Amino acid sequence: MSKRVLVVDDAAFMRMMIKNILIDGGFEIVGEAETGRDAIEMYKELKPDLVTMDITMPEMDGIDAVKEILEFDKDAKIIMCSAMGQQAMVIDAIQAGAKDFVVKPFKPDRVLAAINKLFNE
Amino acid sequence: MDNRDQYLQMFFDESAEYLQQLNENVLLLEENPEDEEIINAVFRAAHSVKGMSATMGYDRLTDLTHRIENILAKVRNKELLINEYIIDTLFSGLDYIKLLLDDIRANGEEVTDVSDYLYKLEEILENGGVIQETEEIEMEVETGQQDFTGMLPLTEEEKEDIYNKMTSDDKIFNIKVMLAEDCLLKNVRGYMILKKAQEMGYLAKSNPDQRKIEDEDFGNAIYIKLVSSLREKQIKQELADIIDVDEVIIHTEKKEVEVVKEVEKEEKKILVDNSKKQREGLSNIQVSPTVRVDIKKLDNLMNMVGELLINKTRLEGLNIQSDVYQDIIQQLDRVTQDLHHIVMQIRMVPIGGIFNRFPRMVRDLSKELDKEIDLIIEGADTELDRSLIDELGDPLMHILRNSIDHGIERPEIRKQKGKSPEGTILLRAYQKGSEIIIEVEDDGAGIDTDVIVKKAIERGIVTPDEARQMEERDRLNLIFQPGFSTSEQVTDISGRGVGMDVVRSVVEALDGQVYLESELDVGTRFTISLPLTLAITQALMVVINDEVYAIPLGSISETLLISPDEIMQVRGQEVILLRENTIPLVEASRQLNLPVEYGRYRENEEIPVVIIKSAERQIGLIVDELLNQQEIVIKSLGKYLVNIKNISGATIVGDGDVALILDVRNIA
Amino acid sequence: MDYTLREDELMEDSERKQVVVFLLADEEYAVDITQSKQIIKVSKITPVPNTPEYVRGVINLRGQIVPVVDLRKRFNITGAVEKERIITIEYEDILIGLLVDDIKEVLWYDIEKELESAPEIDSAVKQDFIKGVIKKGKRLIVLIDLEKLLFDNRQVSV
Repeated sequence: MSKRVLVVDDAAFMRMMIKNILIDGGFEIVGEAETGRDAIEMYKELKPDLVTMDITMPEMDGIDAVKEILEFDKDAKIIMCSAMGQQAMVIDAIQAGAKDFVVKPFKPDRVLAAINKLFNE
Repeated sequence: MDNRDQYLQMFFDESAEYLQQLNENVLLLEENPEDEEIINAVFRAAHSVKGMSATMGYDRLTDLTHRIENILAKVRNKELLINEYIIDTLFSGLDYIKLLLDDIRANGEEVTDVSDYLYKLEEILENGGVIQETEEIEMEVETGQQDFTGMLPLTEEEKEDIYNKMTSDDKIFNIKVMLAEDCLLKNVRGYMILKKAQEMGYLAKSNPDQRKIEDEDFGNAIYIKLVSSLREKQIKQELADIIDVDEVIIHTEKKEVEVVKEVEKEEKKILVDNSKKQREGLSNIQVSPTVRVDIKKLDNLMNMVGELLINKTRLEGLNIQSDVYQDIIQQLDRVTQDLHHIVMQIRMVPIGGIFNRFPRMVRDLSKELDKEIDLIIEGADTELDRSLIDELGDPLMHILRNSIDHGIERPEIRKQKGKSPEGTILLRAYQKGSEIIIEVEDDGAGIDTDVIVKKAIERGIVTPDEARQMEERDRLNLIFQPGFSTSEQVTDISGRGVGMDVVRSVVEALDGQVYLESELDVGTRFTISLPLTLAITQALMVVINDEVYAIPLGSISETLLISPDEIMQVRGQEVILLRENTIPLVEASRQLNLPVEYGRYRENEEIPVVIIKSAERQIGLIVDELLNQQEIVIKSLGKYLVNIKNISGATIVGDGDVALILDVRNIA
Repeated sequence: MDYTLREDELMEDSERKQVVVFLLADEEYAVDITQSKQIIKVSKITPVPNTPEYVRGVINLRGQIVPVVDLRKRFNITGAVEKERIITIEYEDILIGLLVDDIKEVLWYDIEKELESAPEIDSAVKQDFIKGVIKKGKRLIVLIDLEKLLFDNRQVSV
């Protein structure tokens, strides 16, 4: 059974990109959220195997969302989607418990490599 | 060696520092040829460069510095007496060091041929006295590519720390992790590696350390000393599993004996390090407890202060009638101002950083031109914004060259004029109000405006008619015109295409100004004035054609509301009379070429006018509406929109909209 | 949205690139995705005097001042505009917004099989600004050469 993914990004454009990559990679997209707040709600509802999390979003950013999701499920697998120049925030997110990160613009092989590594562990 | 880049940067940084020390000290040596402290300082600096060059495998640099060191050793042993020839030779040696360093930087290897020069040094050594084997303190060159424990030196405390934390199951692992060349967000990756290491045991040390890693101040290798009870293979696997990790090499420190040896070795090293520090204390470099921060971080901080300021202004705009509100606003205002002040303060560095390049240059140039020049530097500790420092080096260099080349006369001519044969150039910096003033003053020939005008006419910069009507000051300022060179014969010193126009444009780009004063046979003074702070300024907000614009207060003398019948016509130009001064009026929308009908203001009962001041002139700028005065954060329009007429940047106003900043210099 | 149309993408060993497709007067155009950063709704654009007509002005993008180039004006396309969107792109360190009618989608194309150098195609955009044409079945998407678009200051006419 393919792994179920929740895609979180405020830009529809970015969500579309990452969805394309993930579907190509054999994943199933179970939901999309535009804000950190929605992401938490949807996580609780959908219990996905993986979350791809944007960092800067309205109504709670990705870092706070990571913290809350992990509070709810300490084994949650979350990958941060970062732009160049957001190093400090990615470090915060990793510190908070995000498993890995990918950098925009997304390269499909890199994104899939990072995700597959998580599931092989 | 993979980790070479990492050393290379350190090597460049440090050699540049030593080279600067060498230059300063050889200069001192010339004046105090028997001062042992100076001789020793030169010796040690040469020795350090030699050691580093040998370690990096740069033979020519090693040879060169080795021989310079030998010469100094002889001087120290009084086998050789310092004379002008030796000083000159030493200086050219320093130049060769610089050339070789530049070679390495550009090509990765030494290119400049130094054999002739080495021969020259050998000659000095031979003729200077009996050749003796000088005592050599050869620096040990560690070659082991595999053994990188040297990358993880431990201090006493760290050693102790490890022993306290180690249990019987634990081993010490020296780990080298190589990141992929195309690794993105290297610092985050590095952080993840450290985090992983911490999860596996006690992270005793990493090189680079965590701060450097987070600052992305490292190459592709991370060295880690890890105390862990896990097996080597397991650690290796865990680390190699992290994305973008190319290679993991692990050495296990097995026996306690080795560790003890290490300690002894380390102790020696610490001794050496300490004595090195003492030596450095003797030289001119002042070491104060500091933290190195990436300038980008400070820029970020500055941006944050800017955001804070914008929001504070928004909050003020609410204008709520409440004591608590007023109190909060006042507090916030004070904190924001303090914060801004502190951030600016952090960004400040002493101007000495560029000033100290000049003594050597002045010496060389005056020698080349057979002139005697005393360079006096004052106010080297004057501080200004870091971003300004980088830009100022070249303009100042150019002005100085100009003074040496065209200003100071040859000794015989000076004598004829009844001046002392030695000319003086005064380089001075000081703070005046909210401005930093830098002056370059010489007691040379002064600038002959007739020669200037003649040249300007020849070059087609002005017509003879125009020149005749010009005031003396404007004639002088012709040298700032593009394509101007004052030298009768173009020398290779200041006649190299970079003109005073470049000096002016650089300074103006920094929001500063250059003034020039000169008197024939008495001297010339260049004055550069720069704003103390760049990023935040007070501005008057105005409305022009429904858009808000900001005018920096620095260029405004006052604002008026006039009625149409105060406007008079003088030779087709609209003017107003202000305290007996006639002030020409210009319409802002016309200056900006806005697509509106001009002259509509005459229909209004009250016309808002902003009086703009420049050095001598005043002008009245007619706008549609005067708003408030506020602090603005100056932002650049970016690289796509450059050199836009009458617009110098933009700022973000309370509601998040963009307001353009008027550049009124060309209007006034 | 459009996950289905890409059966061709399962093929291996072909070099593919991703573009963002947008509309100008009902024609499809595209820019390289590595150069495009995000899509934003048009809010207040502050006009900048003394700039070419196609520079619509500047916007505040999270504290950064970003110039906006009106592509309709740049390409001299007239006609009614119903909707406006800004795609921000980063090209050689320059962050800039492109004002377009609407964003359509993000898609992959095969450089060898689906990109053709621009023939005498019937497009409002002058040849100089075209890097090529992406062919997806019957669809023709004009791939824009950003370098020329940004740094060639000539006004383009039909």
